Amino acid sequence: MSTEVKKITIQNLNVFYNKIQALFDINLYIIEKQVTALIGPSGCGKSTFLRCLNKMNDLIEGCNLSGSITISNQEIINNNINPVLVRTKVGMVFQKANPFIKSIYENIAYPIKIHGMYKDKKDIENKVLESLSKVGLLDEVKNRLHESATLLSGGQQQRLCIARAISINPEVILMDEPCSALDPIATAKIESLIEELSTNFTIIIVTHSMQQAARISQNTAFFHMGNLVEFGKTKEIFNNPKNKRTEDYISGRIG
Amino acid sequence: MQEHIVKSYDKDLENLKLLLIKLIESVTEQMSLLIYSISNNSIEIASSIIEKDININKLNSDINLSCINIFTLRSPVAYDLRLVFSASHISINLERIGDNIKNVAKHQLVLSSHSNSIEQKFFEMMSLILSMLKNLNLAITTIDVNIADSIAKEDKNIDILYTTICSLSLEKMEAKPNKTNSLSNYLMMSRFLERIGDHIVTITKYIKYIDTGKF
Repeated sequence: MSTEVKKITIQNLNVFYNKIQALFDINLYIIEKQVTALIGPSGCGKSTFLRCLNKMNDLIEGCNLSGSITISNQEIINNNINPVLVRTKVGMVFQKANPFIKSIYENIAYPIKIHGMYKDKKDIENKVLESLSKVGLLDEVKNRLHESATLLSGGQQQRLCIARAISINPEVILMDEPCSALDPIATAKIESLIEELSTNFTIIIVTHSMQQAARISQNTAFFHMGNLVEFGKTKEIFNNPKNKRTEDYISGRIG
Repeated sequence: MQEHIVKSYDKDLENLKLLLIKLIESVTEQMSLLIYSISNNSIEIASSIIEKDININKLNSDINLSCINIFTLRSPVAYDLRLVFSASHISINLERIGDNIKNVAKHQLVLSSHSNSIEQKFFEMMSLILSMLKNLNLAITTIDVNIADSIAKEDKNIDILYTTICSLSLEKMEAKPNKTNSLSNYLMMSRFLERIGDHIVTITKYIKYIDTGKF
């Protein structure tokens, strides 16, 4: 049995948008190389929480954080750490696929070049092909690598964005409702991909689909009105939750 | 328990519970008829018990179908999941209890002579099972773990009665070899009753699981 290692530790995290408090004293840890699902009704703070993990809230005016977040024992709130460095380690995939308006190839080659990972053209090409292969997209696009990425289907675009995120070797991947705009087949492909990627990456996913959380995650955190109500093993949360608010929310009752 | 946002979901679960209650009531009624039938040595009632078992089988099928539909269409979780999963298992165990009652009724038809001491123990066993089934009805209706626990404890007395009937029957068989046929019928019948006790215990475990999430 593999031992669980805490990749991210969140302690006493409070988040304010000006005077409005969005998250209240969150204490949570994220297990390395597992999938953690964040669930909860709209406006409960799960996306705010996700954005704290790669310092994207720094871009929002009036957003203030207190508490502590450590990723691989590196504090990311209370010091002057370079946000770009954090985002290199913590990649993100959004609800709507957002490929660059460039070719399929360049969508992946561009961040590799920007981050200075490789300079040699052949190395870059190998990394592009490897990333596309990891997300199961290579066979589908190998004959049109230099066509515009916007010509791909929604599901393919989303997988391209995942390929782009993993191309720079992050440790953590954040996903904010990555399947909400996709059909069931494209969703199944992404879910299967998440399962495969979790052998190498720590994945945190926000989802509104209870079934998706149950299918793909090992751990689940339930947020409600800015509070972390319950956190535990996904099997426990969906079979026998401890908190009544969790029970009511996941079983579709009026809370 | 709070209502579901989707009201038809509540209706599905309510219908499932109603079917389950109808099943336990039918099984309890069969048990009452069995006691009456054996007390009065009534061939007609014994035959009607055998005929009515098909209704219990039908209810079991309806419950299982209802569970499959809820699993497919509602994807139940947490308490709902435990309720639907357990309803299916409780139903199967009730159906088996029905089979055992039917089997006792079949053996009653060929019961030729009686032994007072064995008969007395046999009636004690049947009365205890009837009382367990009545309490089981209450435990299922209210999902009450305490009632379920006290029912399960009664199974020990069923086992003691069964062992007593076995020893009494063997003694009589040795003393009166010409009555071996009738006595072996009692042995078989009490074996069926003993199995009913085991099924009731299994059902109490599912009631507990619905409430606590633990076996």
